[in-house]
Amino acid sequence: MTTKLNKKICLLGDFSVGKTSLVHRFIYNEPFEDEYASPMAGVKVNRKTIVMPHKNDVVELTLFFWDLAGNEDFSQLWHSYVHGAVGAALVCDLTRPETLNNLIKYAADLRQTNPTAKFILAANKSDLTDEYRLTPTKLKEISTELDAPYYLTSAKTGNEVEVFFRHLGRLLLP
Amino acid sequence: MNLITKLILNNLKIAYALTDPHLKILEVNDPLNLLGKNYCLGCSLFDVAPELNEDKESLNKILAGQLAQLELTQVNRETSSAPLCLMMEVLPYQEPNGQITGLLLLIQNVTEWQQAMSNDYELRLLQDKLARQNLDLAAANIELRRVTKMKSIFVSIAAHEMRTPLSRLKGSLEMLLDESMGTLEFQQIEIAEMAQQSAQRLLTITEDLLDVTRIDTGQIELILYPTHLPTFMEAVITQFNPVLQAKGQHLNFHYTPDLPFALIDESRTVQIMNNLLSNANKYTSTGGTITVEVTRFAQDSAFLQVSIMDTGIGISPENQVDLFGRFLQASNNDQSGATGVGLYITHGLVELHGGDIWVESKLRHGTTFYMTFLTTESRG
Repeated sequence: MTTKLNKKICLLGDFSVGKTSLVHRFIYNEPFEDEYASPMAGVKVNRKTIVMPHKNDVVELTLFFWDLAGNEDFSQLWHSYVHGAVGAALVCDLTRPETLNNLIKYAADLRQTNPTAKFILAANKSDLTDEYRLTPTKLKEISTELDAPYYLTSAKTGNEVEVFFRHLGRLLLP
Repeated sequence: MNLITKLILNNLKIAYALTDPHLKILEVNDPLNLLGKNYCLGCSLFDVAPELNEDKESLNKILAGQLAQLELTQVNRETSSAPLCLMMEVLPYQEPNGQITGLLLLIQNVTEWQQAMSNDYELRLLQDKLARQNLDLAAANIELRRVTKMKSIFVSIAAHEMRTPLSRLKGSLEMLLDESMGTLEFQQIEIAEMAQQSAQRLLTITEDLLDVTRIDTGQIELILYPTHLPTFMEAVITQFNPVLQAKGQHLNFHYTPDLPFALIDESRTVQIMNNLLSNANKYTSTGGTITVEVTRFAQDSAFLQVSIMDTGIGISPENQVDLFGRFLQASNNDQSGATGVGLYITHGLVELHGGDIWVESKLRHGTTFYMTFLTTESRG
């Protein structure tokens, strides 16, 4: 027997942390080319179906990824952006410490709309090992504060991207 | 044997038999009745432990001080209640001066321990089996994904490859019909028009196949922008009007004033509306009416609702089940030449918008499709 579930996921994070690239890597398993980025502000929507075992059942889980394309000014579209979202992928850049701190506000804003939303945290650009500016201690601290498991991901190499989104999928199962 | 040793053995539930050098029993303690009833003081050691019969040589060596001990780790015995598993150990019995004056047989019930060991072994066998099955499943899964991907790639390539020659064919037929290559006879025009319609039909099928593959593999992407839905719908309807007029159908369009903007991908929403308007047009007889409405969605003000209602043949309840599933056609006697994937694509596209689609229909009394689209002013 298979149960089919649809879940809306929001991508949250500062400009250029790699939100679109992460989703692109997960769906197409190839690096995202910047030149294809939309020049206009809009919401990019993708979907991917994953299948996973859950409570003696097999669940076909379709994740709908909502990603603000073009700019990070969420203010105009915020309510429709998060409406119905049951989870969020919080994305920061390992080379820019401020992008991790800013996730606290994004998470708080989403929790205001949906108090039961599940979070997972991607510290992205793990391929840039020489440029790390975030410490594991700080990552753990914010991860605990937001109740969001964290992964060091690289949309460029694909490292930990699949396991990151699959973990988010598991968090969303009833 | 001294009292303390006896107490310890008793407490540990270990039975023992002490013999003289001729293996005649001098002393016995059997707290758990492990020895049965076949012994008495003065009888042979082999009466209480016939299993030792095979090891007489070893017993002699122990008595001679040439062997430290003899151990039988798993002696199985049938009893009236349940099978027993015993562990037997034979040691030399030494006087304080070191002289060996007999043998000491220790017997312990290890049935439970043996059972646990056996269970543990079975568990490990099961774990191994499970691990092998997991590997098989993982391999089958990869194989399945590979086959599915190959199928999608094949459909995609086939559709792409068909698209170019079909477009050329359609273009060539258009040139013929334009009469830019020379005047055509009436019958030639009829044939060329039929060929052109067929080419267009094949082009639509290839586009549909490509969209189904994209939806199935998740390789479809929308970019949603705030859009004034009534204005957008008006434009779609205007473009569709010639098709309706050709069948003498009437279209009414209503919308609630001052509606907020909706978040839509314009080209994909055109596709959604064209699919549904085409269906309404196909399944409604000449002179019928189609009504399009844009309103607030009553159940959730975060959405706008678009409805497309026709006065057509309707859909039977059995055909409404899984209507948005793939390769379905509402009517078995469909003369429209529909591919049956239109509603599947429409459903997939509305879902990607974050909205919903459903149908209300009664056979011979028309059909209404409803869709919802998120507004930009929605409140969580």
